[in-house]
Parts: sequence; C-alpha cells; structure tokens
Amino acid sequence: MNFLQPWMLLALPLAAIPIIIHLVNQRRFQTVPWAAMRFLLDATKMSSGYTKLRQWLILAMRTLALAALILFTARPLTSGLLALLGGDANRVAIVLLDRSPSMAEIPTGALNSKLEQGIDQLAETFKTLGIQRIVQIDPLAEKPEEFPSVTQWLRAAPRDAWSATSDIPGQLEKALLYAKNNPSGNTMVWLCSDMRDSDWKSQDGRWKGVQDGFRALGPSIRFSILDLSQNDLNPTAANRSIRTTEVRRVEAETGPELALSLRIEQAGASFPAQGTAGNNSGDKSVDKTTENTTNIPVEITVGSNRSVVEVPMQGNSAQLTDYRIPLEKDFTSDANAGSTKTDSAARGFGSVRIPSDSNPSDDTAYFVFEPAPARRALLISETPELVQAIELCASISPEQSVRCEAELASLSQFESTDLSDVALIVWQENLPTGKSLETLSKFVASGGQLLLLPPENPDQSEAFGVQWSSWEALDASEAPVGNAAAPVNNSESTDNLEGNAGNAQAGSDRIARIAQWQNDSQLLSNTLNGAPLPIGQLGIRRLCGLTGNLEPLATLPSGKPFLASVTLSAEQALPIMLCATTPSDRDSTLAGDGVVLYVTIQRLLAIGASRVGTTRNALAGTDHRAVDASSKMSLGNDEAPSNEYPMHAGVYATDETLVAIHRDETEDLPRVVETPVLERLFGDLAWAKISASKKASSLVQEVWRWFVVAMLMALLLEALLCLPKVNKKRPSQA
Amino acid sequence: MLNVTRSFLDPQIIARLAAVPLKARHAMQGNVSGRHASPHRGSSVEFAEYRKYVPGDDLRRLDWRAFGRTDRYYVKEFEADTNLRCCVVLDTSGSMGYASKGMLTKIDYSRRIAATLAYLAAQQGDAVGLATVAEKIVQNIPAKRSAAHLKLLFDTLEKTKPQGETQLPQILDELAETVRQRALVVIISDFFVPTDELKRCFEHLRFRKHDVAAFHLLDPQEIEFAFGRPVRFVDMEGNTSIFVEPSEIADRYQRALATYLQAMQKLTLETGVDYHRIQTNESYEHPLMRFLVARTRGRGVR
Repeated sequence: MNFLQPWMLLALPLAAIPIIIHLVNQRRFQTVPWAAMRFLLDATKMSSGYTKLRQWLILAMRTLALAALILFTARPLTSGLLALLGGDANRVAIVLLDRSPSMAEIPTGALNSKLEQGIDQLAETFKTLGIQRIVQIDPLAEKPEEFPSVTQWLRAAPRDAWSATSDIPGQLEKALLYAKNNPSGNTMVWLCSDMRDSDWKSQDGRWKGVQDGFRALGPSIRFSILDLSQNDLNPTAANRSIRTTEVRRVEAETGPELALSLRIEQAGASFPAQGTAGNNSGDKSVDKTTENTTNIPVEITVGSNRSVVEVPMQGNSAQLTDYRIPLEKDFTSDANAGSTKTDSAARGFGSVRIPSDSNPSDDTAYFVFEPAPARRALLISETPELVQAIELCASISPEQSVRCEAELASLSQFESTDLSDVALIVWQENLPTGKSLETLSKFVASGGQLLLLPPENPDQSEAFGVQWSSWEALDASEAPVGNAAAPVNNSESTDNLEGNAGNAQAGSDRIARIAQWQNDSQLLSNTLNGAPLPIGQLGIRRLCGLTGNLEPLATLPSGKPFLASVTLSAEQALPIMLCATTPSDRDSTLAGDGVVLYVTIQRLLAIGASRVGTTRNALAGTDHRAVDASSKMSLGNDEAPSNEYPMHAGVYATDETLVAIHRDETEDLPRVVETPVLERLFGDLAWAKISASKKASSLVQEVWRWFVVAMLMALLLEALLCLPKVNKKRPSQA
Repeated sequence: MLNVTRSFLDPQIIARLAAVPLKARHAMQGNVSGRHASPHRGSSVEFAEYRKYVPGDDLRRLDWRAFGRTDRYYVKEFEADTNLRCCVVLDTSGSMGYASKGMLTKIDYSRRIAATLAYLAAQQGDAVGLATVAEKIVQNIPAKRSAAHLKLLFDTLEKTKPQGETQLPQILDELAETVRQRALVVIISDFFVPTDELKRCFEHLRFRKHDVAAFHLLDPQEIEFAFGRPVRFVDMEGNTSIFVEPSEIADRYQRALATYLQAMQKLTLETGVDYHRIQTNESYEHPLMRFLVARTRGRGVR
C-alpha cells in the first residue's frame, strides 16, 4: 500500500485515540457508596461474553474509523509491488523503453502490443502519481528528451517496436549520465520491458559500472521495472518467427536462380489447428495439419514476384534449405536500377513472410542478393617468398562461381593501388605510418579485412595500438611434450601445451604448438560439418613479439599470441587480424599444414568481400554505417522514421548498396531475466519489479473510496453496537 | 395531641390520608374496643349467628323471640370489634442510607412512611410500636395507644441512623415470636437479603397470624444503574469494594436485579404479604394511599 501524501500517515497514531480515551477513562473512576452490592457481585459472576465482545468491537470500530479517515486523507494507491513508490509529485520519471521485437507481441485477447500497453500503463500511472517531469532515454538520440507533461510524453512516445535487440545496460548508462548532470531530489527510473535476457544482457560488464554509478548518486534514485513477460497479459501467447539463413544467386543451366534457405521457430503454446485452404495466392491462411507435421505457408517475394511454399513444421522448428527460385535473365529489383544498371542488374531483394501471429515483427524476414563478387587479395611484402603461400591460398577459389584473385605488391606500389575492389590486405611489412596508415584505416573502416604479418626486421613503429617487437626462436620451454592441444571457448581454458607426439617433425626440429585457440571466433570456428580446424597440428618455429591492446585468438603454451585481433572502435565492423609468424618454412608449418592457412585466408576474403559487393546484410541496431537517414527504404516498415532505419528490419538502398537489415537471432530465444538475476544486476539499489496488469489501465490506482466506505461501515457498526439494548423485562416501579 | 413539626411529617399529606381508615386484613386481637375485627364474639351491633343455649350461658343473651317461635333456646351472638397493634419494623442497616443525587435516602423515606402510618394508627385508637433493626434489634418500642408514646416513636425515628449490616431474617424471626399474636407488622426495608430466608421469615410471621405488610424501598439509581465512567462501588454495609465498568456490567446487573425482584414478588404472593415496591423518587403519599385503600376493600377475616 502506498500513498500520494504519505506524510499524512504521521497522523496514524491518532487512530489510537479511542483506546487512549478508554484507558484514561479507566483511570478516572469515581468511588460510589453502594447499597445493592449483592447484585453487582451476582453480575460479576455471570458470563460477560457478548458484553465484553461488544465493548471491544465498539472500540475497534472507532479505531478503524479513525484509521480509515487518516488513510483516506493520505490518498492510498493500489500498489502491491510498488513498494518503492512514493507520492512526491515533484519526482522525475526517467523512462527506458524496451523496443525489442518481442515487445511488438500482441497478447491474447488484447488489441495493443506489449509496448503500447506498457506505455499506456506508465502514462496512467504518471497521471495518478501526479508526475509532471518525464525524461525518456532514446538509444538513438544523443541527449535524453524531456517532457513537461504526461500528455506530451504520451503523444511523443514510440508505439512501434524495433527489430533491434535492446541494450538495457546502455540505456541505463545514459540514464545515469542524465541523473548525474541533472541532480534531482527524487528520481524514479521506469524500465518497461518483457525481461528478455537478450535485451538485458545480464552478463554484460557494464552492469557493474551502472550499479556503482547509481549507488554513488545515493538513495534518491529508485527503479521500477514494469515486467511485461509473465503475467496475465499473455498467458497462452504462441508465436512463430522466420529468418533467412542463406540467400545466394546461383547460375544454373536454365539461367540464374535464387537459392534460399530459411528457418521457422515456434515458441510459446501450441497454435490452434487450422483448416486447410489456400493456394498460391499467399494471402490466405494455408496451414495444413497432418498427424505429425503442420505445413506453414511461407510467402516469398522477390521483386514483384510472389510465390508461396509450404514448409513442414516438425516440433518447434521448420527449415527450408536451398530452395530454388528461378530469376529472369534480366532480372532486377534494384531501387537504383536506373542509375547503376550495369553493376546491379543481377542483384535484387525480397522478403519471406509467414502468416501473422501474436508478434507481427518476426513474421517477415528480408534478404538481398547479387552474384558473388570477386574476392581480391592484396599482399604487401618486400619479400614475396614469405607470403607466397598466402598468395596461393587467396587465389584458389573454394567455389566455382566465386572468382578469387591475389596480387602481390611492394610498399611503394601500395599508394597507387586501387583498393575499391580489394577484400583483404595482407601486410607483411613494418607497421604502416603516415599516409599508408590513413589509407589502411579507411580500408578497415569500410569493411575491408587487414591481416598484419611481422616484417623481417621489425622497427619500433606503432599502428592500430600494436607494435611488433623482435623475432625470437622458440626455446626449450616451447619444446613439445606430447600433449594434444585443444580449442577453448571464450573463458574456458586448458593447460594443454604444445606438441603433437604423432608429428613426424617432432624430435628433430624445435616446433611449438598452438596451445589454445578460440574456436567460437569467426576466423577459427569449426567447419560446416562441425569439426574443429587442425590448429593444434600447426608448428611454430619462430615468433615475432607483439605488444599492445590485443585480444589473443590463439596462443602458445607460454601465452604468447600466435593469432590476435585488434578492435579499434565499437563501430568498427570487423577487427584487424595479426599473425605473429609467417607461412615460410623457416617460421612455421602454416604452408605445410595448409588447411588452416587456406581456410583462414578464405574466411577473411569472404568477410572482406562484403565491402566489395553492392549488397550487404546487417543486424538491426549493430551497424549504423550500413544504413542512415538518407537511405531509401525498399522493403520494410513504412511507418518507421528515417532516423530509425538502422533499427528496423527491411531492405534499404543507399547510393550504390542494397542493405538487408535483419532481426537479431537472440530475439528468438525466449529466455527471460529472473528475479535473482535482477537482484544481482541491481544489487542494493532500490528497485521493484511490477507485473503489468491487463485489468487495470494504470499500475496504480487511488483507492480512497474503499477507505471512505470502510470508515462509514465502521461508524455504522459502532452506532449499531452502541444502541441501548431493549430490555423487555425491565424492573417495574411498583 | 402531638407536635407536628417533625421533618418527616407532612400535615397536608396526613390530612389527606386520614380520610382513609387503616384497616387490618385479618382479625386483630386488641385490648380495647376498636374498629377492627376481633376473632372473638362480642357486643357490637353487628349480628353474627344464633347458637344453641348450653348451661352456663348468660341468660340475658337468650333470644326470647326465637324461643317463642321455635320453643327452643338460642343465644344470639354479635361480632366483637377491637383495636389493633401495629408494629412498624424499620430497617436501619447501612444500605438504607443510600440515595442517588437529588433523592431522599431510603432511611429518610422510610421515616416518613413509618411516622405517617404511626400517626394514622394512633389517631384511630390503635396501638403503635416501633422496632429499628440492623444487625440486631436496635430499639424496640412496644405498641401503645397513648399520645405520649407517639412522641417517643417520633423521637426514636428522628434519632435513627443507618449503620451496620442487615440481619433482617433473624430479627424478623425474633419479632415474630416476641410480638403478641394477631398484630399488623409493617416492615420498611430495602430487603437486600436472600429471598429464601425472607420467605421463611414471612411464613413465620404469618404463622403467628400477623398481618404482614412490606414496603420495599429502592432508589431509582439502583434500578437504572445509569453510570457513565468506571466506578469503584463501596459496600455500605461493609468494607468491600468492587471496580466496575458500568457499560460492561449493566446488562448483567439488570438481569440479577430483575431475578431478585421477581423472586420477591413471588414470595410475597406465596406468603400473603401486603407487598409494596417503592422508588424513592416517588412521593410517599401515593404508596401509602394505595396501601390504605387496598385495605378498605374487604372486611377483615375472623
């Protein structure tokens, strides 16, 4: 129970007035000489049950009436879980909205999405509490937006969810910054979320900073979490989501075709069985229920062509792999076809859609396609024999339809080389400085891949925050001991040392083995069939030292990095790779055991080739460079404002590029943040989780009427109890 | 005849009450001729019966006319009238000193009743006695007819003070034996004694052929029990006290009182006692008038 005027509760002890009067009255007795004492003695021996009960009831009713009067004047609120809420109308409300796709879910029996319901309930709550100053944290805006009234906030509050996963700790950081810069007596931070772990990022390291920051601001800041996950809002909601896993344009014998792979996931309760209907119209519900499978009609739109394919659903998932859709030979759906007809004639975009369900935001996925671009690698080295193996790996295509090229150039030729179609630069020289460094930085920033190899004679130059030191031959401590090396996942580690007892070279040659590597990194991940790369079989004879802010991807037993990455900024799409040795036989067995080298180079080329092509795929909210406000939406949410394009799934056309924005895959995971996790995240900060209610429009409601009724009832009962008893056997006078 | 400046005598009330004679309900046994029926045959003008002559009867009382008609000897008998002996028993225990605000104490009220009755009885030639009783018989004045005796009674009434515990049942037993038979015994008390003992006393008095009248005095507060705040009641006939929340106990007090009064009503009916319950806020003239009028309705039984 909370109150809008809690200071009135100071008067609550006044409710004890009847009891005090009773006690005082007991002490103010009078002494009376009495003749008829025998009747008093007889009366005291009789049962006093009802009379005593009546007296206590009267006392209780009087106390209750007073208490109800005081509580009524304190303006009580229905709260239950709003234990932290006070009635200070001068309070500032900082609103953090979770606009992740799951918030677009429309609960069963409801008309609005969770996001809309949460906003409406917050608005009603603010009105009830009399909060006048509302600050909304917008993840896209640099500064929080302030609203002087609830009405204005409600008018400006966003009503549609994004396709991007929310960043709750990031928003809290912004809220912390605002609270620091705008100290207020009382600040209430309202988080409206469906508690998905993907949005809360409970393992994120920023939480500690957020917690410490708010703790430093004192107890005047409190948190209310409007939980829209598990409540009566959505008891039986069921939802299916679709996403494309791979879209390629392939040249078949009959002409160009689109190879489409997609996946459908189902979460929540079972869908009701639907009757069979429909055809290729694609607009009607065409689920077909069989004994074990349900066919999901998937509407595929490529340009202006639309087709429907039924995908059998088994269990909670369905998959369509390499589904071929013929393309017209002169096909183009490019929005900019007029201007770049030659380059973009073969590219296009489209969407896949499943019938609408409780969450419309994940019913459509978008894709772009184009002929695979050539993967061109540029190798900068003064000693070509050192990178000869890399040149070979870069020039051999893994697929027939992909053209691979490798060009060797010297440092002097680098400045004059056109990098526009280069996917990968292998830099086996002293670290770049001056104009070269500037050119490489632009190249990396544009999405190109850069692999730095140690020069023959490292100098003291520094670039990208790293520095080569000197070469060193492996000493006895790096000698093989016969243990097999193993990959590790992130923080997991093993103490496996170098060496492979089965290696023929071991024993006669001092070869170091890779002890640990991150097989969950994009570069060293397992192959498509799930087998790990044979990195443990690589032998390192010479290693060049590396210093700087590195993230080791593969290390020797001594901890020296063999392969590392450098991330320059958060906005950098792909990190710079550094290999501490060369493929030459003098330095390593990279060339001899060429599998790792080939796979690694091809992966780098594939990643870097995305900058070369005119189509791109990006996750919503992660790559703000891919799409901006100047982009033109080809497919997607028409109502999305242009500054929010990066947050909405769809297909966007820039000057030369088609970009497909996808929903984050973690959104399909329905894992929510439980209360124990929240306790860890918020620590000793004052916070409360409030479950949204479908019945009440506001989270809080004034309930003073109940107390008026209670007071009246108490007074009425007290009056009834005080009525003199009708005694028919009253002693007559004579 | 007497000095009427006593505080407990009101000449106007006496004048009004004097119009109604004080009669006994039963045959009285007095010393002299009076206006009350006697259990014996006498020489009054009221014919009683014919009785056969037996040797030894006074020949002067033979009815010669009856002899002439029947040729048999009959003696004609007449009722005898005598005076009565009125014994007023006044309870002077401590409880009789109670009076609620603005009311007479019960002892004052009983003084008025006793004095008025004594005056009326003496005025019609009856003998009047007084017994003031508490733990014992405080003072016992035998019944006499003289005016000087009335003065003694009034002086005694004037000096009477309420004190001591009530031992009314024992004292009534004693009086039943000591007072000569066939007297009018008027008991003025609050009767705060066990009713079963009281019943036994009344039966004893009736056994002695006394005409028993009981004036039961109650203060209005004792009936209403209208107290607001908590009260510590101190027993007027002892040192015991009891702390009471009146609002809590009033109901039970009323029940106990009602039970007692019903028992009193019942026992007086069963024992033939002329019972009059009086609240002290009422003028004593009215109960006395009711008392006198009720006795005029029938001739005393011989």
